Amino acid sequence: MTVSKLRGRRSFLRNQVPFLLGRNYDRVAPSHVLNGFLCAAFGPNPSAKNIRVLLRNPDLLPEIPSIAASILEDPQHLSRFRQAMGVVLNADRRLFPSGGSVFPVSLGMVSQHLMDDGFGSEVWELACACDRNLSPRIRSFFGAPIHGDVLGQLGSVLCGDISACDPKHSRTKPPWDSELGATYARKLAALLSPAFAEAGGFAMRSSRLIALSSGCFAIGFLATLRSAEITHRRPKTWSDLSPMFVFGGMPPGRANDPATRLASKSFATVVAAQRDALREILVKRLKRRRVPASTPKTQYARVVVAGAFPDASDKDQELARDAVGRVQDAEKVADRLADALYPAGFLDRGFRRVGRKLGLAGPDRGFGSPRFLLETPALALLSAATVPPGNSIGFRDWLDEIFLRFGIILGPGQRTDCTALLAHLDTPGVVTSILRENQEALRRRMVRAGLAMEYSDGETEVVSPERRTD
Amino acid sequence: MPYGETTTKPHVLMVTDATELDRKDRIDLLATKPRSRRGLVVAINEGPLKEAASHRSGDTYKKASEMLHRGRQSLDVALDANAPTVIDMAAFDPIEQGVVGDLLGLDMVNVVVDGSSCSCDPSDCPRRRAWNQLSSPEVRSRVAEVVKLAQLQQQDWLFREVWDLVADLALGGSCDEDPPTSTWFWRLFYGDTSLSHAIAQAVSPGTKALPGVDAHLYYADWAAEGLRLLDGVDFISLSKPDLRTARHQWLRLQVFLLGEQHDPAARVIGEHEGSFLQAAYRLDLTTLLAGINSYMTFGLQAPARTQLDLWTSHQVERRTDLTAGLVRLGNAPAADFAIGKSHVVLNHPNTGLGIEGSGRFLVHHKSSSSLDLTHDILSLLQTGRSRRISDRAHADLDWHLLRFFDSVLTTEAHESEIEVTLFNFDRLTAETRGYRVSDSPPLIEANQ
Repeated sequence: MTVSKLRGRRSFLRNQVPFLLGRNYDRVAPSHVLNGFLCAAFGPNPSAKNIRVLLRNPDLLPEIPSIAASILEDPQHLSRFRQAMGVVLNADRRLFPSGGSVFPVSLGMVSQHLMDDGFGSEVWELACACDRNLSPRIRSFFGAPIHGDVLGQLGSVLCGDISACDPKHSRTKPPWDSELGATYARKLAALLSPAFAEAGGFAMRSSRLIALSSGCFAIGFLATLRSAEITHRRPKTWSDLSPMFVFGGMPPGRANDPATRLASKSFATVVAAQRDALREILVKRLKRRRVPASTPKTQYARVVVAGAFPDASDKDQELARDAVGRVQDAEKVADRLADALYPAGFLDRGFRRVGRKLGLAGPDRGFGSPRFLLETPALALLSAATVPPGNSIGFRDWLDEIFLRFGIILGPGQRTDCTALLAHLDTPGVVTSILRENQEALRRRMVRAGLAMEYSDGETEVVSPERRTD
Repeated sequence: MPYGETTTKPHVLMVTDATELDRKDRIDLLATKPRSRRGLVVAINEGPLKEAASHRSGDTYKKASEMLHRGRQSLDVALDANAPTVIDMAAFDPIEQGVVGDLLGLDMVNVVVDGSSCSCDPSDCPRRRAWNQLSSPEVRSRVAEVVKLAQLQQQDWLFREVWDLVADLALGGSCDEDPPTSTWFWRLFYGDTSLSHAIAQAVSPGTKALPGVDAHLYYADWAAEGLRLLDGVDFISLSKPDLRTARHQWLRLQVFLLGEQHDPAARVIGEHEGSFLQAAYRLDLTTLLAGINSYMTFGLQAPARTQLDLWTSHQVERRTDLTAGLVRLGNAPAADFAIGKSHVVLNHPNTGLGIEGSGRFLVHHKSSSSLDLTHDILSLLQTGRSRRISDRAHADLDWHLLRFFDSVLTTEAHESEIEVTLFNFDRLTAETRGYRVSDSPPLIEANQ
């Protein structure tokens, strides 16, 4: 019972390990993360309540004066209006009668009912630490609607004046201070760039918001996937971490496909590495806390837990003491705590559930073992974040770039020998052939999706999905 | 004058393969221009072209590369006197241009057929007799039209494959077989080339009914009206057509291809009546726009034919099914669209050259947007939209279409009107609701 209560509690390591997977990982959804992100940036807005009443409380009349009387006074008209606005503002169905998030066409729709398990604010901290101009850019993004921006107008008419939304104070340091960690944070922050592409980019507010929402969520997922390992190992290069091989063919891939199997093995390796890293961090914290030799056996757990995790709440500390029992060795205490906080299968399920919401992990359902994959929108997000609008980059160079930026292995690599990184997962010859086939499958998919161009001389270039406006 | 030689006389420099040059030489090629040089022709692959374009002194290459990409998507390229004329050989489609007909009429090919070794008497050789039929320009034109049908199977065909077909038509098969497999009309469908396989699949000549013809063929009634071929083209008969099905089919092919009252290409295209494949093939814009409109609304609403509805979906999260509604932010009149083919000759003062590639695109010139009308996309449009996100081909097509709409919306968005269509999949109905949004005074009201 204690174990299930302690599972996924973030208060033990939150101060040391950012982007920890929490106990409510099922709630982490793109709209919640975006809401949390904007809430951390500008704070909640009172008018968000009216939007919730409009969309999810049919028994109450929304206090939005700009809705014409002809709609408000006719119950049938009002019901139809609610449904229509539901399609515009609640397409992800993540708004509930008591809380939740909408598709925020205005900052006035940012709610204080955060259901993102803390991811939104951490994404904001990371992005803000890497891009000082982020705040004003978001502010201007949500500013006065430009000509033809009917969604912007709708937002400002429904929520009124948003001038009170001021940027909040935020962290100035990236979440990880190691060499690779700092670079990784910057590269992750660049996933937001498609939403703010200055040189044209997405012209419509809806597309840019979709890009912002996807970007925030992708940052959250990729960060949580690696955070513990980066924090613990303080790596210099990606080869210092567990290899993340992503299936490049049409997701989710056949179960007996060698590339699918390798992706599943890689998933398991990454998850195991995160769990090991979390355990090691716990060990370090516990060992740092000196317990007097005279401490009675019955009091050891109380002293060591209270000393090592002073930020954890009393309730969490009590649960931890129960989980530890009368063990008096730091390593064993860490084992028990790790088992209670991150029991077998917890991280696997969590990463899979979170990743599948944007098409970065799968399969969606069924008995297939979890693996990393890239659905087309996620693939487009990666290419938009790595290729400037209107430009292109050689396909193999792009694969190298994706590895160097995100540690994602999609092919054999030119600058890095990715076969060697995956050698422990299968025999080298098999890995080499899988990587080649995976690269080719991805290339064909990208050409078909319009994310790459194949030239007559066999050259393939990845193009930005964003249009350049001259 | 070939590259590498020098002269002080007026000349046009020919670089037959700039891929062989290193990057510096490619840049120098355009940077230095001797007075005697009247022109420069450079053949270059796209990889080296892009490489040269990325150099800071590679402006001309950059312009060429940009034109190439616009032209390939059927987008207009403004005439620029300071930019080179670009001929995109990769986009040139020999089948689309009816090159097969021209090749079959070449004297050189006739000489090859005449000189081919054969065990039979040249005056009664089936290969040679059949080849004589091709002396008629009308026959060659029909053959070229039939060869175009291979595009229904595969969009891009190379010159190499066209030459393979012509070589096979001229020299393939044997006169000693029963029926003779050396005749061009047999080889057109049953030859050994990838092109003839595609033609056979697209046309499936054995399944085409020829009312009133089969009986005459079976009873060897060669004088029958139904067996009359095009003017000046002789029908080649075989004895005992009732003996073997293949003989019957051999005779039948002549009537199907060259019969006075037949038009094989139109007939095959006609079988796809109403399909988007046919619409793209015949550049029928209204059918295609109606198809896209209908696809987006799951076929639950009568589609507009004179405009393209521009939708967006705010669903970001991947769930098992699509959301039951779409937001329409604008629409673009059909007059602003065209079904275009990729351009082969770009930045040439004579715009009426009419040389086009095989790739077909739905183009919105105002916003410089284009949607690639590949066979995959057209057949998915034909199938109808799927609600399930696990139908990945449809989920990807949705993504493609929404990107295209987004691009067109940059010029066609409604200023103050938003429309929402809600689908009821239980009752198979759809309902659209429109609202006007005004800034001053702030007001949202329903459209009447």
